Amino acid sequence: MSAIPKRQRIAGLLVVGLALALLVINIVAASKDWSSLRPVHTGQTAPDFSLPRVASDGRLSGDLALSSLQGSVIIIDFWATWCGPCTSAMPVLEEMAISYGDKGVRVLSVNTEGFGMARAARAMADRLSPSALLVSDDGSASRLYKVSTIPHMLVIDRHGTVRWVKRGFGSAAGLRSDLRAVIEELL
Amino acid sequence: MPLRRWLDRVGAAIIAPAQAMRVSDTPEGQGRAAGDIALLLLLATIAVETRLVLQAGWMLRYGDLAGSLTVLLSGARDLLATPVIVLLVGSVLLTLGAGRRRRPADDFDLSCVALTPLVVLELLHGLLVRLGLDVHQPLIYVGYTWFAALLLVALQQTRRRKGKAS
Repeated sequence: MSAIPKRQRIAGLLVVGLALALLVINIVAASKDWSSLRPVHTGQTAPDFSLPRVASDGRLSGDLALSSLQGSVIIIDFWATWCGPCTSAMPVLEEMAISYGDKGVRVLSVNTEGFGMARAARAMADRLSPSALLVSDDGSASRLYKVSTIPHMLVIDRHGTVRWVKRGFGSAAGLRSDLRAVIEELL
Repeated sequence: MPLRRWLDRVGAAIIAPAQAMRVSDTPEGQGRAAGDIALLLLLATIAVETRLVLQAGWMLRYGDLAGSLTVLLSGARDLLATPVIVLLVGSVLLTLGAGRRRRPADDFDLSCVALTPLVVLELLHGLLVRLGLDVHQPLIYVGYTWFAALLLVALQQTRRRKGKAS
């Protein structure tokens, strides 16, 4: 290999070395807190969060903490007004709230569009899922639960443990069947 | 070996850019620069956005393919948006500057060669930030100045082309 290509090869190797050094440093940094990268999963204690409730007139009222609902079976639904599958899922969650509400099942509806969309979220929730507890998320709960696709639904048992996680929406019948199965098991 | 040749081409783009552009502008070198910069950008994305890559991996582990892709794309967008725009602008400028000797596909390749140091500086910036050094502004100035200078070198290369525009 002549001198010029050798220098070029060395320069190329230095670039790759730079990338590998950064990769190793980032992996070591991430390894100190793997749990923060892992999505919220079944068997894990549900991370607590506190978000403002959306009152009937669309205004924000006092905060509702997830931990305040401990003792109930909680269905958490992260959703947005622009999300078609979310609006398809909400009536199914309303069915669960009506069918199992007297047995201690609550639906916590978390609108992910920020405080500015509270009024629109209230209007949609009143139409599709009026029994749900509606809260407005400024992004803090979505980040905590690593919500990347919506609807993002979880079922939390009476002791605060995540027992079921669903990302996305397949069909109303499928969602109904899955939710009934997990709720019946927890009651 | 393809990897060795890739290393040579990337290295040439940094320490011997005029030569790298001459080679890129030949029939044998056509299209290689685009592939080279794509691989370098992929490497840079993985190295700089490692945390998001790991998070995406976890999501895939739990069967959330859509979520995994969303996380990867958000990281890629944050890192790649500017270099890709710069690449396209450089390519257009070269094509316009080449006049009758323009060859848009080859001009794009030359822009890819010119972009290489900028991508390397992104890697360097990532490493320095990890080491606690805030050198964002100086590196930005160096990067874009370097890119502009290499565009001038690329423009000279287009002027050496024989024949009319394709």
